[in-house]
Amino acid sequence: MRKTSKYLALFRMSAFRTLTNYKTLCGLSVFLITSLIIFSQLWKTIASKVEMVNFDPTQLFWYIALNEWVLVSIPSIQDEMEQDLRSGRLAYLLPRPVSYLGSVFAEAAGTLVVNFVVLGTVTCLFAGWQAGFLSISFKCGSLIILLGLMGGFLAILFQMLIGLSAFWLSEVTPFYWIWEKLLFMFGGLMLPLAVYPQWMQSIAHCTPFPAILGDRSFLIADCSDSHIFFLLASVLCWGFLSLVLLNFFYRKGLNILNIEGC
Amino acid sequence: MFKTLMFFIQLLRTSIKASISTRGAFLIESTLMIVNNLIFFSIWWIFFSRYPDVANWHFNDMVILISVGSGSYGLMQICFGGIRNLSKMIQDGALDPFMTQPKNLLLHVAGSKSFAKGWGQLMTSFIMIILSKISSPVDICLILLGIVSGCLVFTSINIIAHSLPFWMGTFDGVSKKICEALFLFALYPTNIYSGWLQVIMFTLIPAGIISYLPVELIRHFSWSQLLILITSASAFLVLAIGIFYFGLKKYESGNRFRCRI
Repeated sequence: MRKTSKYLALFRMSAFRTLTNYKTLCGLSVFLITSLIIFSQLWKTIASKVEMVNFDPTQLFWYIALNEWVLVSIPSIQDEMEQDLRSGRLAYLLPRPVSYLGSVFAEAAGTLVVNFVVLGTVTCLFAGWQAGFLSISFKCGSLIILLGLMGGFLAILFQMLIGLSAFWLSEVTPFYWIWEKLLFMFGGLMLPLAVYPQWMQSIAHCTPFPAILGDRSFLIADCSDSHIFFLLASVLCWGFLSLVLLNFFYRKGLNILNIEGC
Repeated sequence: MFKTLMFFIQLLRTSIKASISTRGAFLIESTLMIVNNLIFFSIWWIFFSRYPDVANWHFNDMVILISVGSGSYGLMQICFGGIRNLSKMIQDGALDPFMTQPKNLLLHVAGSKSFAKGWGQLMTSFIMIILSKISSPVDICLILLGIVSGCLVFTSINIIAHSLPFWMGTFDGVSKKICEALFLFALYPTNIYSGWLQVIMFTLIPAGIISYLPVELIRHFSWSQLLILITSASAFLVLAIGIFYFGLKKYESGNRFRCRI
């Protein structure tokens, strides 16, 4: 119990810090709306070429909005980890009676939750004003929020993995960019997944990206039990795998630190 | 002016040497950047192989666009990489060591860091030039001009975005997001946008100036477009410098003792 309370305190502090930094939240909101307008225009052009099954203009706008909402809410935790590892700050953080990875996750989760609530409100108001409100069931709406949050947590875990690569590389940005491009590509943000050949769509569904973005947003068109089950299973499996990988690479990295120093 | 230029060249030499000093990391970062760009390229390749025409643009135009876009970004990361740390420096009050030296402040900050991944971007640009099958010296000169002007626009927007902490406080996360988004938007054909959004793409988010204008110059050369390209790149730079020095009046020192060697 005491162990959890330490991380809850970190979570609360981070959430409070994000909330008080309202100027950043305003900046993120403006950024979200701008990206939303640009991507909706892009999708309109492409959707006219691709037969977008089951998507009317309102649903299309909401699909992009729900994708952007999660994407912009995720904090850039890998940059802070890179700084910790490269500056040698990690050496000062290690003796604390909290796990380094646990504290990073708790702080990132605090930021994510506040971003998620604030940007969610902005997204709903803007998408509702631009395209009209969606007529979806309460169950479906709740699942979109819950799975969006879970997708955000999953993305944080993977970004922490990218952050850990600073043990071996001087810069983690190239890895992050590859992750981001794959997220855009297989998550169905840049272009609809329907544009890609069947084999690429199959590959996409074997990655965590659709669960973070596209598949979850697709709940507005398909809220069947099988789709929900597939999404939940996907998020949980990838979450477990990322935790195993995080633990493995962190231990490997600490070995380097113990042998070579900061 | 000449002394400042010489100082910048020497500074750049030192920064580039530092960035490539760890050979392994340099090679990995550059290769990863090429992989990253090739992922993006493959998306458009798949798209154009199914739909060969997007608003009168063909695959070859897209290849040139990626060449100019990634080349400009890479050149900025190599020559003016220090700008990326500007917002953090302003937040932490860490500009003091730069301000105490009798050199141009902005140029000093910009040239203080060079990123190895920029070479990966430049390599991508080179690969794209080969893939585009452009052989005319005039077209290659236009691409190089596009890369230089795009680099100036990227640098300008980076200066503006990373100067925002002068007024907004802790803002480096948003500044980085703005700059990365500009690079992403610059790799889309700007002619897919219409109406006021197209105006935005040439003013507030100048993605159109970075990549669309150079491609249009190669497609249908006109002196007026060339003039627009050079003028707008210079205007953005002047605006960015103005904003930085205007914001600098609000700078608060971190009162930390640091030395810069």
